[in-house]
Amino acid sequence: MPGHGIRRTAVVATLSILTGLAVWAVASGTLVSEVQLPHPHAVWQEAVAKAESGLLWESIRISLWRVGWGWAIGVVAGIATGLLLGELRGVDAVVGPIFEFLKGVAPISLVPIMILWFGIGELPKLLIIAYITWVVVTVSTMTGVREVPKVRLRAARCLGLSQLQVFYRIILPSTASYVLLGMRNGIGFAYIALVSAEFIAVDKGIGFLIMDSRLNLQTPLMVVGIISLGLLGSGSQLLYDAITLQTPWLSRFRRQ
Amino acid sequence: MDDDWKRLRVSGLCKQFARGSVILSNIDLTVDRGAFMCILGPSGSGKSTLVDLIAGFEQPTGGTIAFDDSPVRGPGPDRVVIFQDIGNALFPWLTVQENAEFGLRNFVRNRRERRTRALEALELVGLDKDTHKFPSELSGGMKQRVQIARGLVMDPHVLIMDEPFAALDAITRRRMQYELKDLWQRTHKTVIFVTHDISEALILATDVTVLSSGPGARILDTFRPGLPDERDPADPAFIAAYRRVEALIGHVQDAGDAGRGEAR
Repeated sequence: MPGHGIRRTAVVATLSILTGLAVWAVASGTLVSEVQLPHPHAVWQEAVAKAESGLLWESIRISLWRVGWGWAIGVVAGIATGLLLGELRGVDAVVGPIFEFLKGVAPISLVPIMILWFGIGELPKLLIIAYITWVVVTVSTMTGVREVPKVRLRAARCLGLSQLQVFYRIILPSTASYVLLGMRNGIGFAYIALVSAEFIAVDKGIGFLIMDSRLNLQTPLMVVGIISLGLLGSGSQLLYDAITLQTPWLSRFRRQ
Repeated sequence: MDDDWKRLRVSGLCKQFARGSVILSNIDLTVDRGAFMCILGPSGSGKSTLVDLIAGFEQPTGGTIAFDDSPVRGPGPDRVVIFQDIGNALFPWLTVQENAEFGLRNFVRNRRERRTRALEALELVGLDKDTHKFPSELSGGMKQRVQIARGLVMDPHVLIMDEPFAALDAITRRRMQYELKDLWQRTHKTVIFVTHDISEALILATDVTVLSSGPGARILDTFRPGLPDERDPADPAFIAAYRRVEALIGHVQDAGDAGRGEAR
């Protein structure tokens, strides 16, 4: 009974959130001072105030714009690179480890050099987000191409397909599920990159809001920023899942 | 494609891999049009390599493969292979109907004709009620039927079947053998069927070729079992033929290995 399972998951999720809130409410002002960890109620009031003043929405808007474009650029570039590298047999042995290494380089460590190269405008921020998404999607796509079963390629060849046809009628659809997974993982990485980019040298965005409120000792606003980021990040992934799972022509590529 | 061919001839075929190991040595084989040729050999006898060469996936080190006098080069729809690997041979993102139609796109312009021809082939293998299912919704036996339909649709000169039932359970395997036999009797499509299962070969074949165990496998014998159309494993003639093959294989191999060719 799948309906039952979903309802149970929802109940458990709600309980776990409520428990977290309760622990937070009790801890604030008793275990930890309210300056360090403001009470949930104070945070809520701060969120309402900043929503009414428009600052919250403006910060969310600019951050979403950055993460959206950076991610999209990274996805397009990553699919292209991954297909190319996956197809060039032998190259992945050389390039694969490089990408695994790049995946491990924290985006924040790239911020100074990006500023050095591209200044402090929107470009370096977009590039940091695009870059990390590109790495993640490239690795995933390349793996997908490499994992296409040999038998499947052979079957296509004896059904009369040319090499080029094998590429777009076999390799592309076979790789699609890996690309979709890479894009999903890319969302998480894009948000990490976003915050890294916004912590330094900006005057707008959620990341800036968090850093700026620390300087002004506005802890409630800081917590509002953190929670907003969490909601945006997980919300983006949920939205992505909803879209890819509900689109019939996409869901057929998940079949194995 | 020349449709007037009379026989597929493999002559002096050798395959040696780069590191010097000889897989096949001097294979001569003639498959008449309309024949059901079973190539029987123990594991490691180079059966799969032979299939790869005839299908054009691999190039021989020596010798030729030709329909009459026109040699074959590379894979093509005149020699469609039915693979053993049930899980990977179909295209999982396509329905049964779309899988069956897949190869026609290059050869048949008319979309409706592609549909009709695929449906005809699916009817032949008894899957015309499951056209909208995806491979993931099918049993192993049904998947192999789709593969057969996808191959038949191309109207190949030869259907090359590389241990197609070896991964199925024993009951399904036996049922598929009789279904294939029935299908062949209706279509008289030329079949090269590779197996390590002696009774499977004797149920299906008009011609049997026995390979020695590798490396450097060669042909031990080629014969026509001369059994009636309705094959019965309990028939004394069938048992006699079975013994004969067993003795042949046992000749070059440990008795333990040469027993009934059960699938893995």
